[in-house]
Amino acid sequence: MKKIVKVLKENFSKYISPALFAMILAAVISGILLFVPPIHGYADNGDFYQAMTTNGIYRLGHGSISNYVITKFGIYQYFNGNGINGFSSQSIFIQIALLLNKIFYSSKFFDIRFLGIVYYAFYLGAIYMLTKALVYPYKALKSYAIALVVVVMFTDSSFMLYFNSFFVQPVMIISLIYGFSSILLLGRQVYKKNWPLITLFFVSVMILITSEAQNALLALSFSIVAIGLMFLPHFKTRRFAVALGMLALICSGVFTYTTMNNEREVDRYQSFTHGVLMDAGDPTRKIKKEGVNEQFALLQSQDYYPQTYTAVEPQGKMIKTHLLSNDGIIWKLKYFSHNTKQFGQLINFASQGIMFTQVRSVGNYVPSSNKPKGQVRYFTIYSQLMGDLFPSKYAFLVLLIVGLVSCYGVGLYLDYKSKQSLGVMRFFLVLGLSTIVLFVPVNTILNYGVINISAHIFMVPLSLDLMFILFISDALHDRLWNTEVKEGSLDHAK
Amino acid sequence: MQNRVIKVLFLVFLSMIIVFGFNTSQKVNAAENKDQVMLVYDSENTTDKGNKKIDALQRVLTSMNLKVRTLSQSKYKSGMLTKKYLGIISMVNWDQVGFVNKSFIKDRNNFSGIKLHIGNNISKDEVSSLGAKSSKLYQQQLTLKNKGSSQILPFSETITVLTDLPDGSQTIGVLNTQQPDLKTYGYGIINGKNGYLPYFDSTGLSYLTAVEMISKLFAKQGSFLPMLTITGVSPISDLKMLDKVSEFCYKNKIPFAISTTSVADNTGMKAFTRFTSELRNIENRGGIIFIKSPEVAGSGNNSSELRQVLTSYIVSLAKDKVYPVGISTDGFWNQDKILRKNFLMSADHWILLPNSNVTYLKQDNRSQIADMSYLGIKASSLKDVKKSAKTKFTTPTAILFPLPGSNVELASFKEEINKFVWFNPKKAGMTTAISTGTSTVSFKNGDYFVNGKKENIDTANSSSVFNKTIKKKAVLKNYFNVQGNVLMILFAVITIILIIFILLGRRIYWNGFNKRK
Repeated sequence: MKKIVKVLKENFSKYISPALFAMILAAVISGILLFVPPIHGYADNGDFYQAMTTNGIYRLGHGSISNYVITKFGIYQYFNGNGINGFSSQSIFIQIALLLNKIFYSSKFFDIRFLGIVYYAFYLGAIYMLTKALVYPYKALKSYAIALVVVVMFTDSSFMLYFNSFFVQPVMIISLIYGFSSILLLGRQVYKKNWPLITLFFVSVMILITSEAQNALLALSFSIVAIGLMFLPHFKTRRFAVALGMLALICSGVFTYTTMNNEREVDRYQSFTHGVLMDAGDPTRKIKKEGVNEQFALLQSQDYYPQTYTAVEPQGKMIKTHLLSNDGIIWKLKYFSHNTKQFGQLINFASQGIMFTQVRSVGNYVPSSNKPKGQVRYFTIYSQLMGDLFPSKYAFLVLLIVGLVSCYGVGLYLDYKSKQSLGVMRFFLVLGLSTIVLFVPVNTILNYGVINISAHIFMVPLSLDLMFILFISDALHDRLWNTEVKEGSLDHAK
Repeated sequence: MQNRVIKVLFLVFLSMIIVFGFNTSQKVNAAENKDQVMLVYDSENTTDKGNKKIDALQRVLTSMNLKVRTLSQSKYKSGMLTKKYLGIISMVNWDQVGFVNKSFIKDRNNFSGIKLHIGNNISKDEVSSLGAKSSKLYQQQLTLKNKGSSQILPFSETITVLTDLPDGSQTIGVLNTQQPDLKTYGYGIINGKNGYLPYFDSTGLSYLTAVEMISKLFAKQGSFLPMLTITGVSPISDLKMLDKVSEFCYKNKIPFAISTTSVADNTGMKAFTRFTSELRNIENRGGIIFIKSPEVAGSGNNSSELRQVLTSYIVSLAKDKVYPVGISTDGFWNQDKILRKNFLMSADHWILLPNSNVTYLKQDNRSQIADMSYLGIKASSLKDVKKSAKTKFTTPTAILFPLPGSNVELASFKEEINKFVWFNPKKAGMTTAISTGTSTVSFKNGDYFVNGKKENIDTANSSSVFNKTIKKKAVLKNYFNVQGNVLMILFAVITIILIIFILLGRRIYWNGFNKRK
């Protein structure tokens, strides 16, 4: 009996590595959610418009959009005048989906599942790479446990539902996982040649940065991550190449920031009405003190595109000349530096829902299900648990980051002394992700206010999850500080 | 004796007959007192701003207390033009289209009420009922003259004028050609129940002359002083400038009105108090306040919400002793069932402004009337019109001045408003009321009343009626509920775990050394 178990175990790990195991699990779990009818996804909250029009896709029919997931869209047959509406790397994925759609389905109608499949394919690759990067070179039982945790974390339906939608988030999920894994794989020297992984890192990070305007600032975080690449062994001659890559990152950040500014007036307005003016007290005097007409306090919680009736037209001349010309980022920094308590409250509010990754305001079901705004419960255990248990204070995030960075700082010190690259690269990876976790909420408050906050801080839970799984895998494999692979512990390593 | 009884009885009987007879005759009068007009246009022709002309005409008719049913000729069906209509107005906005709906043309010819044709393409039947001959002028730039003012009309390819006018017809304003031979034609022409206007525009002298002509044709002619109205005021306006304006008017004894929006939210803020205290200044300086309708942003059929918006405007303003006397709004609000019913109809005094951003919720094109509707005309459009202290208008008119944006604009504003003698609501005994569900705010001879009780606006103490209904709401109160204690424990646990890790790590590190040894 024991023999049979042993043989089974050996054969299992011979044919199915932890990475393959994670990939198969993820494929089955998310495949059921996304492609087995009735399918699931996220309904539109108004954000689809940009991605759809730039790619020549339009909505069929009218009525409420946020209740149900719509699968069928129209494709513009003639010239699309909106095509030049700014570039987003999301268009690459949509264009691939459109091509597949035209080959296999129709040239007049677009089925959202083609986009889902494109994301799905890239995503499965990402899961494979991530698991491999985390467990290599081990194949012990705990490696399979890590694979399982990867699946629970990243195949959570709150992430997967994005795939059947025009939201930009799938691009962020996929590209961040690729970037993260390529750094770890490089550090562990899994492959002989370095340049394919370095290229993968820079390409996926650039896709991430150019996916959305607010991601422009992430160029700085990933430049920190890229510093780690300088410490690769036998790599002195190519440091120039890495520096060039970092420059490219910064450039893509600047490019994103300058080209995708068509929504900036909205953001300027709402960061004022939903940010500066959000105060437990009366903001009237506070803004007067900082030199803005105190009457603008009355705009508190007003949307740029109001739902019903509004006393003041936000798109009007009055707002443009008297408010939007005065409330730039410098002014906001000045304002919040004088009102630190309010900023603290806002930042805590931003941190409050950080782990609630499932979008509550839109439905997950197709119309035939008769569940308007229905929320999927299938495989959401991780997001539910984290949403309920994760302490929702910014101070906690800071402590957590200090803990993680100092923990990996030890690894950095030890590996730097022993001229190993993994610990150094891992440290810069964690440091880069930490800057995302700490500065994205601040940036969100300054540039967008507290409206629609869970979408704006989406990079935070994603980065946290990646750091958690890294910590778990390192702790289980006993290489938090000592990155040397212990020969004795390689159960079945080949 | 018997004779006397009979006489008395006879007298009683007679008086009863007279009383009853009088009553019935009054009823007949009421039935005859038709106030509905049908306006049919050939095409909206928005490229040529035909929609603006339709709006301008609709507001003119409303200010004359005429209800207007507007429809395009394509929507006209045979028999729609019944006897209940006082008159029919045919408006041609697009010369190349004109009227082609035969059942309309037939019904119009058979119609016995007042008929008015506006624009080109006047039919032969219409010309003959006017008792004149028509002639076309090609490629002309005409000058309109009326009451000592003149305005050069835009160049026109063709324009149809009437000649050989019959005796007894009236001409309002004249058109001069610019050629050396200088011919003169009538502009607004009335012959009995028939009228003709070759050209209609929503600005300047031609508009005023057209208003004069239409009021004569429909026998609604009055004599009104214009009302000075400051528009574009909102809670986020430059209140210092508003204060300067009201102070100037007060010192120069100029009565005025302002048209201001208000907010339904955030009325507990100091910024709102500052706004209302400025409005109270205006009331104390002889100004009256018209509440301006909000912008229609969404497109849901939210009628109850609109009613709520108005209620919260009135309540929050009245709480600070600001009492609007009426509603000012873009013309299209009177053409929309939801907007009219839930907002406009709550007041009996309106200022109808030119349309700016038009968003219909449920357009029905059946405008209603108020006790008094002021026709809003932008002051800037009256540049060519000669103004004097005697300038009077044939319908209630509000001359609109936007709130000055700078001291330069303020100076020219001061200069402009001195050219007129303005309507004084206090002297004229203006009586208004706005009712919202639970309360009625009214204005009578310069005093303000809430539910019939006179309110003193000299002091800032808020009215007792409204104090109860207003509750201040802290916006972020629920956001920042402290979960501190739980968190502190968590932090402590995490710190302990971290310390344990560090200790463990040290041991592992030293063990590594031991092995090497």
